[in-house]
Amino acid sequence: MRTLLYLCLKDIRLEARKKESCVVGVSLGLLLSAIAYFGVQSAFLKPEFEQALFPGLIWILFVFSGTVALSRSFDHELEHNALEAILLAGVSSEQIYVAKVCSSLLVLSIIFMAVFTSLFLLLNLPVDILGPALGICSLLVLLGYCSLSVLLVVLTTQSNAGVLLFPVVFLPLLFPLFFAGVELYAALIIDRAFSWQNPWVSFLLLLDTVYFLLGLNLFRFAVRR
Amino acid sequence: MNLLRRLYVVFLLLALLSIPLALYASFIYAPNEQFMGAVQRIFYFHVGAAVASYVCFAILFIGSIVYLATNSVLADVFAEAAGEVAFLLCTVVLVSGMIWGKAVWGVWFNTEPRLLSFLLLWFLTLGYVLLRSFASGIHVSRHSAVLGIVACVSVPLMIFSIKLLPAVKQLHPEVIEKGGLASEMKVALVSAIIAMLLVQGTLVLLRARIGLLQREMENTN
Repeated sequence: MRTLLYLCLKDIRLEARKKESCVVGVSLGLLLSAIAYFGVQSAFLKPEFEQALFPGLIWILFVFSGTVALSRSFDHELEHNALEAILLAGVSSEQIYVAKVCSSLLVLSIIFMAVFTSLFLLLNLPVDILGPALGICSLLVLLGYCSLSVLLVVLTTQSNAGVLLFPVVFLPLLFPLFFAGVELYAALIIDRAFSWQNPWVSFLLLLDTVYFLLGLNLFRFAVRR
Repeated sequence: MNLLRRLYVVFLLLALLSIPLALYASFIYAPNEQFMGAVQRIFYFHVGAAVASYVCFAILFIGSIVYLATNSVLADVFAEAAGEVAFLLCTVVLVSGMIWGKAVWGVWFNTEPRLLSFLLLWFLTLGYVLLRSFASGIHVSRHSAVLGIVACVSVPLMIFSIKLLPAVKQLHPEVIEKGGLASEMKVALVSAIIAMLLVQGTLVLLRARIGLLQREMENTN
């Protein structure tokens, strides 16, 4: 447990020093929100129709900015064989995976909050939609996103095409999570008919469990030299 | 290698025999469908290609697991072959489905469960084929096996998630599930599925043989 904490702190400290993923992800998210807003405005939709676009738009913008931000998350570990050094120090690949998922979750949460806030303000959504259910659903989607992306980013970073390949390999696998995120947001924000018995909540929990277990069991094959 | 060659020859001969039979059953023996007319005949090969692509996903999944567990070169070449043939078959399903859709529903594409499923499967196999092409030499097999397992596990999740979507409605005729096919049509469908499975088996075996030869060449160099 202590090793896990140290690994996680190492990743967070690295990000705090370099600020690459967070700054790029947040900036891109804000920029994309502005572009999406002007796109929506050009259609001269009624305010309620504009707000109905929110569940789809928020996840599209987040997926793009998050993918760009995470695509270089293993560069430092793979440069100078640092990952191999960590493995030789007796740390298991499972611990590295869990620590990376936790630190990525933190970075992605910051990016998500920036994208959410900007789009929330631009589309003039009512404040009463904010609540614990929205937070929990978002966190569940982010957890599945991180579990999958940490495994795939380490595969693609080592390829000849490098990070360019990451979105092509990662995005098709993201569709079930994307559908779940959009449907839950629609139930929470547009229909205002959310309940914990919603089948998408159980499906999201299933996705998180499957992706996390896959990542945990396959990560050692992705990092083994 | 010899066993692979023999198997390939057997599959090739059976495929060459079954293709004319399937063509005869689909285009001459089976009657015209009452409402859709001649365009419905795409259905036989469209369904055959879909069934064959699922078999490819099963080979890819098993091959990837066996490779990671045993480092068997044979498992790796079969997974590679199945991934590439799955991509080809998904393309066939998607293109034939779009032609059929345009003729029957008036649209090339629709957010309909099965159309959406195959579009996503096509993207999945594209990602796998690209990773195979660009992965660096020493890691290619292991990394592809990891992606192969993740992709195959995601297939049922994807299909289930699409079925949960409220906005999509089923446009596909459910004749197979509801037993609405005439007996001649059933014969045509079964013969087309068998022909497509044999073609798929032939292509997988051919690609696996090429893969083995490539690895032998790499080892001698």
